[in-house]
Amino acid sequence: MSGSTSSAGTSKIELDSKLLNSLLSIFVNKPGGLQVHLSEQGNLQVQQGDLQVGVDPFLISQALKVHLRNGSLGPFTVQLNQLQMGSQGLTLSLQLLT
Amino acid sequence: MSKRLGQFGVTLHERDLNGLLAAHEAAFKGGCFQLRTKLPMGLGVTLVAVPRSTPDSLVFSIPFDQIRGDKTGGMAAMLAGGLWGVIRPVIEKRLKKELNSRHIPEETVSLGQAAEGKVKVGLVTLHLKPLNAWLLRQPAVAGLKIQLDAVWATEDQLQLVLGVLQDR
Repeated sequence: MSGSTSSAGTSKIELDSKLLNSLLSIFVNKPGGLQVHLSEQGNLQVQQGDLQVGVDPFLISQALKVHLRNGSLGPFTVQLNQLQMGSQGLTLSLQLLT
Repeated sequence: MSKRLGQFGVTLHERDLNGLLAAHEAAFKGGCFQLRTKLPMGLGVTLVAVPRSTPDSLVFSIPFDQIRGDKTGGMAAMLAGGLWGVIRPVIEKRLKKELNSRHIPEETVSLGQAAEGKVKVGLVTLHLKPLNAWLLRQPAVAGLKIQLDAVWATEDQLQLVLGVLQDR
């Protein structure tokens, strides 16, 4: 995962574009149905029949609190600070709240 | 047989990592791990573990001169060379307990001793190959499995690169 840029005080999860497209193929794309793909230029291409939607690379900075509950971990809260999509893939910047 | 789908990176900032380590009497500060443990004679000691990455392992060096006793302070450091024989089985026992509770093979972690410059150090090595073999034996989640490709620490972060495999 070369070239990762982490700002101070932030934890991150970074998915490379290859992995992102593989996950979209497995969990989202259906034969003859919805097709979602991240292009080499970082555009998110969404296609359903003859409808095509393109989303340019984006950076959303908006705090969003997500509450997680898992049997072994117990409940905890993650604050999602930033969501970035581009040619490199998807990056979530977050912090754990205790 | 598994097909490799790609990689994802997890970067844990010092503050978040300390939140996760708090329950284990451990902390991450200045790129090093600090671990508190109790020796059989009742002396509580704090060890500093300095991590460094190699292509197939993560090695923690525990400098003897950085070992601090709860009550004896620097005295523990002076004694640490001789105490390593006492500290090592305690670390070994604690590691084995963690590994066994998760059914991770014991050869995933090995202990040793070396000299780094003028400083004697204890060595704890996490071997990625047996760890990844164990990860591959775990049940797939949504048809996916992960393996640890690399791990390293910077001054205020722990970074992991994980590979994602599709179980076929």
